[in-house]
Amino acid sequence: MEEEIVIHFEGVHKRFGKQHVLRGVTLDIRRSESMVIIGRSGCGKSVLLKHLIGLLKPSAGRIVVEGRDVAVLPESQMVDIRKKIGIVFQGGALFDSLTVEANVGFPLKEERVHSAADIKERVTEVLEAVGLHNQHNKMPSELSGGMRKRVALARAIIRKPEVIVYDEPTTGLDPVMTDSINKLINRMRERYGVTSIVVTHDMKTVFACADRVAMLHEGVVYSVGTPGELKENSDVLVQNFIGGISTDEDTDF
Amino acid sequence: MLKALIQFVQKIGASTLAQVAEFGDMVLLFWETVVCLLTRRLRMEQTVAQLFFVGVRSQMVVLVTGLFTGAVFAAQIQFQFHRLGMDSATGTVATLAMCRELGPVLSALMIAGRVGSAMAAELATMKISEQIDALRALAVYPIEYLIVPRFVAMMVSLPLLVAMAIGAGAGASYFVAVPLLGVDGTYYWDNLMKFVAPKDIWIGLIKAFFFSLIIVTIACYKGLHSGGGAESVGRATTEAAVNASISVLISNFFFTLLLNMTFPSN
Ligand SMILES: Nc1ncnc2c1ncn2[C@@H]1O[C@H](COP(=O)(O)OP(=O)(O)OP(=O)(O)O)[C@@H](O)[C@H]1O
Ligand SMILES: [Mg+2]
Repeated sequence: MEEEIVIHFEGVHKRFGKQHVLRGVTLDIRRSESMVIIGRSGCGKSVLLKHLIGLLKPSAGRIVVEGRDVAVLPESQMVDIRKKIGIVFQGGALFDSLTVEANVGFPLKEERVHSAADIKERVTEVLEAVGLHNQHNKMPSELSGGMRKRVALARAIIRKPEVIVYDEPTTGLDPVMTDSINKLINRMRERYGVTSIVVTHDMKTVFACADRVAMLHEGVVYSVGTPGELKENSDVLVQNFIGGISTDEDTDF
Repeated sequence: MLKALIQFVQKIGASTLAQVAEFGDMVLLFWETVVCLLTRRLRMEQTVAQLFFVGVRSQMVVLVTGLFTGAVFAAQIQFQFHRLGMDSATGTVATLAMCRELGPVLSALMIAGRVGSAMAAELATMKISEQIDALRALAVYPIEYLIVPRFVAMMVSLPLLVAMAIGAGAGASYFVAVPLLGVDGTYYWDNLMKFVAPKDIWIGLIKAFFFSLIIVTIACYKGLHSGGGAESVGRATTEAAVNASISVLISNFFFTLLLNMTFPSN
């Protein structure tokens, strides 16, 4: 079962009006692996993730999750798949009318099987795991950017879903916190066998978490491989990306 | 010249098409909400919160609207009817007007401004900050969680608020007409009892119910379909209030004709 494919993107295209963002993305994600997706800002990483749970529908192509093509699945049948996938939105997307505690406990409350005390205990547990102590009763508007991100992370992992999608989980965090979130991502996989998809710009996260790395460029998967292979890759584009080197045309101002 | 004309017609055509499409989308939203209301569980927590916001917190606005509309209407009618020696009809006319037109329409306009715009702003903000996507991602149906509670709160609250406005208006017209402007109290009551029937109140309440559906549908639609950015939240908010108000005014005319056929006044 090592090689079981959980998620399979096949020739996924996405257009927004005239803008052709995804131009045939093909990518397999195996069970219990950590797939890190990198790519230039605006290249369509967040858009790709949203396709996974049917928040966006592809203009063409197939996205098979657990054997079902979400591209053609009606909204009403997405529920089963969405319950298996936890997602951390890039902007957090916390419910701003709810407290931190209610936000994090929301997925559990929705299952309608847990007692209030039970939920509270689990909420405290995950909030501790993301380094937030005694912040239960704050409103999202009262949090710092990094804290908001971590609350969003807590909300995504509380249900221990089979797949967790992290859209830039460490952007805006201090280096110590970044390291602790990287460890958390690894722990989720080691303890619960979670399949992780991590979008990041942080090379530390890439090398700390990735089993494989996919680089998105101009709407297609430009290269896939282990972090080691990525380092060894002689392609200029890849080397410039991981080295953080801009070319002349990028700085032509 | 001809080219300009063609362009002009094209423009009108395009905007008409957009309007029709928008109306179609609103009907769709309305339909989805009704189906959801009938087939899924009602979110009590959200519904109570909305009831509190829509119903309880709007009482002051509606009360003031009812009181002063009733008062000014009674005064104006008494001034005019006095010249014809028909002072004692003041109460009847003012109360009928409150029940059938002023109560429901003015309350609905106030609610469109107060509640409709707030709903649109809240939903639009939720949309641009991806909170609605987050709901869907957590396997929660946004119509069930966000829209149905707002519908229920409006459908329940607006008729009650209108009843309040009618009561306040009728009371105010009595106090303006009888103690203040010296209309004979006995005749006032006598005529009131003779010419105002329960069906007049029913007409007001039925209108209120339909206005509530119009306001909440437009407000929710504008909120859910706003674009990105702060500007579009602003636009959604104003459009919700303005479109809902205009729709209330226009539909009111047709409701009046229809209801007059159903409850003939004689
Ligand atoms: N809802 C939308 N409507 C129209 N265009 C969109 C929409 N969402 C994203 N886009 C466009 O798609 C492109 C890719 O956006 P996306 O958010 O996926 O970038 P990204 O790779 O996540 O970048 P970043 O690293 O900065 O988060 C952008 O050019 C953006 O303008
Ligand atoms: Mg992004």
